[in-house]
Amino acid sequence: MRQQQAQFDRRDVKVAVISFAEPSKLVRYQEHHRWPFIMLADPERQVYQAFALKRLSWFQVFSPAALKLYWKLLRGGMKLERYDGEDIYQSGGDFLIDRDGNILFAHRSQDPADRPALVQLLDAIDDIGRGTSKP
Amino acid sequence: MSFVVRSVFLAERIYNVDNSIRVFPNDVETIPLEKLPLLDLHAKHVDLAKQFDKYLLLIFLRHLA
Repeated sequence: MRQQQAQFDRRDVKVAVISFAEPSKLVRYQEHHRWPFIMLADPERQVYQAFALKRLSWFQVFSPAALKLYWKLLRGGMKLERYDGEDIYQSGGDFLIDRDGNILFAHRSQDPADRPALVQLLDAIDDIGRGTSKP
Repeated sequence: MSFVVRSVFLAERIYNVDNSIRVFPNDVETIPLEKLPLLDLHAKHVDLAKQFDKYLLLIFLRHLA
């Protein structure tokens, strides 16, 4: 994502990353990762709920696709940081919003590995810009 | 500022109410983004509506790792 920020900038897309962690934990997280995006906290998970992001089941969290992703990340050298008390069952998601309030793209993850690819997001944005997105 | 929110791609709708955030489906079709209880790293409330000019991509994380 970090390397692709220019592609979002070129499309006038601002990116905001939302976590349900407390702001104090997010500070530590941001010091480690240095994401070039707005980092926001929703510790009460009211916004997660508003966007209908539910908690996953055990079988979803440890699905074959998720285990494959974890294995790939660990083999790639990812080091796990400890952020005690985090809820591993909370799902994530991705939403593109325009100034008129339309959610132009919505993806609610069904397991930890279920995220739209960057190219999928960019294609969706381009389709919207061309007015060819499907209703 | 209030936003009419609908999902074009998934033919779903996110519903919300004025001050309290509620899970869809409901019967209210606006979501007041500026009132969403989002905090910045200094634990200050953030008006989401002021964060972008054209498009805003919201990435909801799972747990931190």
